[in-house]
Amino acid sequence: MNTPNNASRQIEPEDLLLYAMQLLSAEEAAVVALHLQHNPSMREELARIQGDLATYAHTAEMHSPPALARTRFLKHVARERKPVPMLRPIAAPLQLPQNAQQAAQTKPEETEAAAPSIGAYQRNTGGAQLFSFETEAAKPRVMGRIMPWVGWAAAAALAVTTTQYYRENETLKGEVASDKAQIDQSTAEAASAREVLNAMNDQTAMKVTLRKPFAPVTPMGRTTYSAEKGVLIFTATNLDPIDTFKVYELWIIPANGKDPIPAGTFHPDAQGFANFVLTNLPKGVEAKAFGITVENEGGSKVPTLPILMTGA
Amino acid sequence: MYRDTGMQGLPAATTRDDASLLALVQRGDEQAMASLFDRYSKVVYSVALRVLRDPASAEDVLQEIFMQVWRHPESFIATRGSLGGWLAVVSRNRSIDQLRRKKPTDSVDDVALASPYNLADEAERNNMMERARAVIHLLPKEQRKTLEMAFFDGLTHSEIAEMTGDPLGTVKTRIRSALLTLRKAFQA
Repeated sequence: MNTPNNASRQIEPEDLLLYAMQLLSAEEAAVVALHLQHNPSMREELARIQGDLATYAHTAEMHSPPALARTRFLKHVARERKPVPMLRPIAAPLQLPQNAQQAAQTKPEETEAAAPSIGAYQRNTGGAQLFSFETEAAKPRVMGRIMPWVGWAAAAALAVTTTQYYRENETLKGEVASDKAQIDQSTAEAASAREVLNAMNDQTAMKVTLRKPFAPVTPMGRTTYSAEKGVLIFTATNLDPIDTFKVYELWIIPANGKDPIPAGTFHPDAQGFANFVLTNLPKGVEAKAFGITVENEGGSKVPTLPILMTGA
Repeated sequence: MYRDTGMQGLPAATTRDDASLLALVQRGDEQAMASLFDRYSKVVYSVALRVLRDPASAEDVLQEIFMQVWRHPESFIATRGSLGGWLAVVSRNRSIDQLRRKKPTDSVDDVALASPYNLADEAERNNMMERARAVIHLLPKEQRKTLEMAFFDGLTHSEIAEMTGDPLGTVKTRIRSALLTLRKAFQA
């Protein structure tokens, strides 16, 4: 990477890529940013790299966000409402209840003089105004004429507001019902998962290992391991009985050559059967192999040789 | 719940393109914002979840990014290319910031992005995802892993070099080669 002292030099393509991924130090990133300011072709290449990264980002395993995330988001949006522009044309003259005759006789120049900004704005916008507020200059004359209508306007606004609240109330009721259905479903799924775990750990449950007739009986362990999720499911059969104050301990042998990771201790039952599920293992640890050792009650942080069973 | 913005007689928000929806969002149309959320929340959430590996944190990133679109739709201008692509990249960047417990930098979202895909179209988006996954799957393992560590784990080239024992130059070259392969595969 070039330093600020030689910022005039060409930036390497690899460094532009690291810049796009924000993996450069602040100092290095500043140098690249400086080059980008004066180099359109480099900016184009950066845009292409960002496009490539966007494509690569889409290779992530897709998961739908929680159903309530949408509800939460829309509530948040509703709390931060924006002023809504109105796109109503107002080219027709304003119809007022009083002094209508006088208003009709008023010269256009006078009207514009009284409210210059409205007239000018209407010309510029082809007779349509974007926002429904008026200018300060027009206020004094107009206010006197519209005051009698304020009560009616307030009543109308109240009716509109009430209707809006009613609709929002109905919508919220629907959302609450939807949320309740989601919670019910999640509760049912959790109960089902709990039943499975209870059955696996039930000492009285019937456990049978099927094999060919007369086949030799050998100890066997089976792991199902998701490095990404940090979850491990382990079952073993035909394990030898173990001394009191001793336990079997399962180990994950990481693929990166680091120290074995303890992955649970267990006692086999009278038939040599054992199983357990671990969901709190460190995530992202790719396993090269698995092994089982015998350790003192309570387990160990490092495996004690010999390794009784191993698998890769 | 949604306000009428006076835009009657136009197609339903869900069928509009991103630019039209953003224009409506700029006018405060909550239905248009909901449509953008429905269209892209899955990608944004999935990228954040891949980086952070924690659903609650991923949802925080999701909410933060879409609130940014709601508050400042004008910040996404046409020259930035694809909204879907931009959201995916910003989701990754925000997640990495959160991973490093770092405040989001302004430059993070100032992403000009050249993408030939219409990610607003679900079928095209899915097709692109499958093709990209296939290309990545065929990369040499070292390249694939190095790109993954840099992009999804946010590891610097020095950190990757330290972890893998490879020279710095090799790490940089692998990342670039992997992305170039991806680009070429889509240009072919």
